[in-house]
Amino acid sequence: MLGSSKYLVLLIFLFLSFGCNYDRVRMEDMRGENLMLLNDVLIRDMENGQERMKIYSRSLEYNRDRSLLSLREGRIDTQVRAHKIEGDLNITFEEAVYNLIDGDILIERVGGISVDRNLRLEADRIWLNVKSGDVSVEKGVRVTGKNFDFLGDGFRGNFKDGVYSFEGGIVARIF
Amino acid sequence: MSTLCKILVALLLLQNQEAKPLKERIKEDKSPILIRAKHLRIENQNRKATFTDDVQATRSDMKMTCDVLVAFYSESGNIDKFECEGNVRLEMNRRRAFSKKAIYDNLKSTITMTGEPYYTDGENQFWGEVVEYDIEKDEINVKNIKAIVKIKEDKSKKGEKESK
Repeated sequence: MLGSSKYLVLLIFLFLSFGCNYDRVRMEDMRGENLMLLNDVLIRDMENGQERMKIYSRSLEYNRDRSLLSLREGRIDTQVRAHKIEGDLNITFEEAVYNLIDGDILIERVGGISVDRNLRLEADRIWLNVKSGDVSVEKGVRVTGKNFDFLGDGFRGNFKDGVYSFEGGIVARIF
Repeated sequence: MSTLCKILVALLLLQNQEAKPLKERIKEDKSPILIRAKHLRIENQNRKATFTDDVQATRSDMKMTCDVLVAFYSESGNIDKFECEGNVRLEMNRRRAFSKKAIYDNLKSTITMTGEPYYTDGENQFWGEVVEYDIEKDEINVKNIKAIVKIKEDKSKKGEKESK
């Protein structure tokens, strides 16, 4: 869906902050710009008129040729709706690369992912896809909930299906 | 002198702690259930987590190993029960129990072992249809029991017999 951003099916608004003033920039306004550098950005990712995701970032680099958004120091706020699970998904990060074509986000130095404040996921490097809901972490992932704490490697999962696995060993503490 | 007193008090406290049943010790230290495995699959829809390959679960001085351990949790996230299958081995100090299947009921605080269960307590051995361990009472019940129990002869009586 995000791949169609070129054709303006999605409306992605960029709010540029310069002090207290915000300017609204549409993706169509970015045409002709192969590389765009912005500071203090809020991206509202819309799908069928509904907001799917918000991305706050201290700095943003948009590469139009590769449809890549490189983000630094920011937060992603979205929602998870799967089966009986419905809640806010918040991700804080140091660095992230967002591919607008396939919806992949590679997050480096993750501050943490929390689902509705009940579930928290921590790792150095997380890959997730905002379209499919797939998430994976190769090494050193910690998933903590109200009464459990899982530490392991080879984490694969899907936020929409609510199915997760650890393939490279797990130590689980259940309280 | 005061150091010696402290050591004696500490030893007495330690002795008392060891004498307490497992259930009380678990309650007191609030020790978590620690599960180690090579693989884990969590299915939120079915509210179950399946641990496979070299599964080892420990709590306080109780240790359980098996091939597959499935944890079933409630909507609030609390674990209701664990189902262990394949080469189940339960260890509690000198007591051991073996079976093909075991169910740890976290609400009732019981472990029910089925599938050719076998239980040993030191040199004593028991076989039966079902081995049920009540954690709260620290009691083990074996249904349709077959047992080998070693009765230790009193050494003083043995000496008396020999002198006669």
